[in-house]
Amino acid sequence: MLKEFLFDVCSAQFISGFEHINGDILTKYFQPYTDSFEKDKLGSYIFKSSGSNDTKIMLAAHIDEIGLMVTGILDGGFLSFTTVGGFNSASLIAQDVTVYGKENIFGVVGIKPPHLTSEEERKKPIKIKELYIDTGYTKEELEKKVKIGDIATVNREPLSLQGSVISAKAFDDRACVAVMLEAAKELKKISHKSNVYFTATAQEETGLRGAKTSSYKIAPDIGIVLDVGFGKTPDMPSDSPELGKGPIVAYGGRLNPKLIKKFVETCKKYNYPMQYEAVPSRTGTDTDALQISRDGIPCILLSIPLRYMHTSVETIDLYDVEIAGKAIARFINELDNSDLEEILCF
Amino acid sequence: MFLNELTELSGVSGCEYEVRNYIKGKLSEIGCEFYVDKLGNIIAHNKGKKNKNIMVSAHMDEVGLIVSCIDSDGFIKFKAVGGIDQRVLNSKVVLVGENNIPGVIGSKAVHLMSDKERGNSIPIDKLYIDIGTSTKEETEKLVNVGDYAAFKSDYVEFGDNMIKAKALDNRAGCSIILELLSQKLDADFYGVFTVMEEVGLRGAEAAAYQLEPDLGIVLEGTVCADMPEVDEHESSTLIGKGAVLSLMDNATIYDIDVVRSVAKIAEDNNITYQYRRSTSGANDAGVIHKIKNGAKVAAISVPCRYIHSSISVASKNDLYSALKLTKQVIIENQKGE
Repeated sequence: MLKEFLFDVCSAQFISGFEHINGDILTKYFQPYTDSFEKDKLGSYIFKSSGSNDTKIMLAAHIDEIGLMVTGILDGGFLSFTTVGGFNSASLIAQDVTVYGKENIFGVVGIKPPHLTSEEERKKPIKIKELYIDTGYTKEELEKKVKIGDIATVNREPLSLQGSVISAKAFDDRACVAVMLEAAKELKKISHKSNVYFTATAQEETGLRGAKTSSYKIAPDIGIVLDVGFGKTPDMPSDSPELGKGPIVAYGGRLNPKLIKKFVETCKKYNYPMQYEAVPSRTGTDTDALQISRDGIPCILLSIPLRYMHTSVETIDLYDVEIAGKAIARFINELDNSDLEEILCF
Repeated sequence: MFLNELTELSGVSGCEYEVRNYIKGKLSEIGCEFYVDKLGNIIAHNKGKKNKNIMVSAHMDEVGLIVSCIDSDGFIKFKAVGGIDQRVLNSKVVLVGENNIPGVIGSKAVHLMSDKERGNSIPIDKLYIDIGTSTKEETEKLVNVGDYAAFKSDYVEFGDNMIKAKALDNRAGCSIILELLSQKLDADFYGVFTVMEEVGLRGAEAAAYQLEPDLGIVLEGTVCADMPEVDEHESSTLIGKGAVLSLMDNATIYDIDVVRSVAKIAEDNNITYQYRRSTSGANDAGVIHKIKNGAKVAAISVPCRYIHSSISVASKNDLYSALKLTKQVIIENQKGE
């Protein structure tokens, strides 16, 4: 089911600021496991699973993805564009894209062929403004279909690699939306006491904005933030977290040490494999917004190892997603049977 | 035409069997006489009215990758086969080996790049294919050194009569020859599907030796860079402006009388055509015109944007022009003096 959800949700666009268009996919998968649904005014999706006490636990994983935005319609049916969120321009070369205009328009981002470029030219860094979307239409036809401000995503059909490894665009951070779905499924089986808010936050990629507004709206007692982390590849240090070895628990100033301790104890008790990382200051995740929302929210941050972040071939191991979901459900259950105030007391 | 199916097959130079098997199947369906030579070229014969020996050829192979090493974590290192610009490899899906094992070529996360690295292409020797395994042993069960890898890219029709696919260079030419053979013209010609063009025009030389053509017509997908910020004279060809006639490239000076006669046939038959305005690149004509005593050659091409990448683009109108022109050239040349 997790794979089916991920392949479904990663085939749709949720570019930062445009998350409202395809929300039906989320409600379809989350509603069977939750009791109510609302949105904040920036478009974050909040699915609540009600409990029997007053404790509020917020899970946060961002639904938005990086994308492209049309800035001009040019002669020959080309579109100039800018980026929404952090792209490496080099990863856009020779990709095909969908432009969400009046209708969905297919296009490609190409460059001059090697036959007509010099060695020197090929070594120069590519700037976004030197790239264009080729739509195959004339300018006149194109003007009827596309407006400046329309958005586009790279096309990538989700792909199964060996074992439980899968590859697609936007696993950052829908891998963690899937973690929430797994946790919701697990929690449905037990009668949890806390109220759990599964929050698919908006506009993380452009500055953690949905996390700020949704956490204000929910006013949770604790936050469990879920994002993706850098999985080991040949160009990374040998001690980097690896795919298939479990989620990554973060330590550092943005996280609550006693809450982390409780989470790690739970994982050890129930044999959920974990990896660990030290993040002394900025995490670059929704944690940075949640921690200082309202009068402060104690948080933990759990990451899914992912290779090739912010490309169209982001690669994860479904095993890590499943473990993270199960561990979180178990953690909530443990918290339900502990004195939360005591855990959070310094 | 056959282009949809042809462009979704893998056929990296030296490993053309998927394409060859497909074409052999089609030739049997068409009922066309053919044989496969010692290098793997397919030589088909359309029998008909004959004035001279005509060889119409197109190469089956495409640029791609070959596995050079499997590292201790199971990642696959590779080398380029043919002219691949390293810039087009970033964030792509490829199919590896005879069993088409899917893999991705990723890139370091933009967050971890230095300012200097950002936007820059990654050299081929720093890239690798990830098939989702985590040890050398796991990968070795599925992939060997020497296996080929080809881009995975769907055939898509889009825009105003346009096609996006990989390997339009030169499945475009292959599809035109198959179409011509299926039309059973009463004009004699050999339809030749060559191997290993992209790594040095290897197959065509052996094929031309066997056929000794009086006239060689090479069909190609050729460079087209009619994009923003490229001056028209630098674009080589224009998409949608018809079949392309070559005058001169790195390997051939095309017989000017032949070129002009092909242009006249286009004009007489209202077929749109253009001249190739770049002299860079080469094609099978480069070896065909030097075979034995020498042969006259013409190259008729389809303009392809983003050639040698996974997303090359061609116009169906241009394909049709190239098909019509080739057909007329064969018919006119077999009419007799």
